[in-house]
Amino acid sequence: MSQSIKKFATLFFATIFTLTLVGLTAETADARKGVKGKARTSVSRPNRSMKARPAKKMRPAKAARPSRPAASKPKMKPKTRPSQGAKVRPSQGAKTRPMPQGDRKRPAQQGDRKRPTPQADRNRPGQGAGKPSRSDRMADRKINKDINLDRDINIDRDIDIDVDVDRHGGWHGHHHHPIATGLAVGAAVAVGAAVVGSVVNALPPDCTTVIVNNVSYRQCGSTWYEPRYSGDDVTYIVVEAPQ
Amino acid sequence: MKKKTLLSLLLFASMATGLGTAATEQAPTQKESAETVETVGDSGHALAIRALGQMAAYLRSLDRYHVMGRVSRETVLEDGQKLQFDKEVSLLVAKPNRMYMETTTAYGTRRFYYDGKQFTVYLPGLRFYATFDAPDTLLETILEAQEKHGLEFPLADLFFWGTEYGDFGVIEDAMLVGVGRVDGVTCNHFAFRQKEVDWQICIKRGGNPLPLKLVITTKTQPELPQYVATLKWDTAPVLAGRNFSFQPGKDDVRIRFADRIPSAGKDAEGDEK
Repeated sequence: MSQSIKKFATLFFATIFTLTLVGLTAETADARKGVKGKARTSVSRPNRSMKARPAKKMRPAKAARPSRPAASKPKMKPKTRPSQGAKVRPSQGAKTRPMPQGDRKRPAQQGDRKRPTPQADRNRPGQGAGKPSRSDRMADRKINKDINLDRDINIDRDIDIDVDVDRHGGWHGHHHHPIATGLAVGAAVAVGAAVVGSVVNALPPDCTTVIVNNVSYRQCGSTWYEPRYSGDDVTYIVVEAPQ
Repeated sequence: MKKKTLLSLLLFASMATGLGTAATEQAPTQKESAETVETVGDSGHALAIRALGQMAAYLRSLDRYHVMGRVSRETVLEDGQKLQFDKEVSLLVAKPNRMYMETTTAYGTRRFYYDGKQFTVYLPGLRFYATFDAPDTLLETILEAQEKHGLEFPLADLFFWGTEYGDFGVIEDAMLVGVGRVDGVTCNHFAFRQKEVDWQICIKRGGNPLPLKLVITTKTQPELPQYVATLKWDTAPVLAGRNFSFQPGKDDVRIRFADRIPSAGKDAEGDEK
């Protein structure tokens, strides 16, 4: 009797293990393939998002911001959306974006920014690694409040908002599905080195929602993202720290 | 053998009746009616085009409608593999200028509101919404949402057919395939060829020529990805209690459309709450 239970348990766990492995493998494989096109959804008008979008839609960068890699991506067909190629997934890990190293670090002081405190000096203990402690986040809030004259509200529930609520058991524990919007082409940008104007479909973990002047931002370490509605989904664009 | 002949005769007769009825609905000229009868039975380019026109005119004549759509769209991966993704769409349109649409996939829900003044897309899962001040008409609003803000509408042709933006003049080849059946409703199955797409439609037979199924094959990509929509119609939906205006909740956060260039501190439209 107990023998059969043991046998069953072994089989059960072995199955779970195998399924998990298969699942992970499938997920990885999927995430590696980029999307090169989609079916049109209208006979009357081509889908707007499938047309080439000019790069000027991005932030009017001062300083020397590198152009988005999608522009020169050889695999792109004319009808596919170039923004897809440029999208990067922070969760992807170690790949690096094909761009000159020198451009990846932006000067701390950007042109006409009014905020006196440079981003790098903001003493943000939560940067890069690990979840910031409660007191860290309280400190963040205080700083933001000070700088932004009490107009900031730190919702402080980013994980609930971004991951749990809309998950429905989706891959990567995130609401975006990995293929249609994933497009793991460009690659991950290490937190703290993201280039302003680059677009991601998913945020790194441990981000904080901060609202500045009625605009909702996600702050992940020293990188600030602004969620935007694009085509059929939300994407996050790397922005300079809001003033 | 005899039975088979009888069956096809019946089929043919019912088809002719269906098309004939549809044709007379839109008060055609004497000449058109005659043509309709004559061309039934052959591939009938003109007949197919005319059936589209009748459907489009009927769509535009509705003062309200609710359509439930099941939409599948293929995505082509870089190595040519095709994946199909499904979406459920619920679209409510009320003249003169109101619309509510909800789209649902396993990954999330989108709600679109248009009340004649503002257009809003709301993501209940993320509690995000994006809004723009909309033109007076639904057609212009859809165009602006597409052109300016890059939004995608799964059943966009329903807005365009019967307007200057739904030009059937671009159709290079048209034919009547035969009779189809979608969710238990018989329909006339037509196929069309255009420069960039081949497409098929099944139009309900009888007095209410509504599109029941639409298939679009995209020819600009070698893998020929397809889009398929099947539609269920209610042309007399109850509008009482329907909300066409978006009211943000306490925890809802406004975001911008991707086309908007961020400029910190300048977001006058953000003060809605």
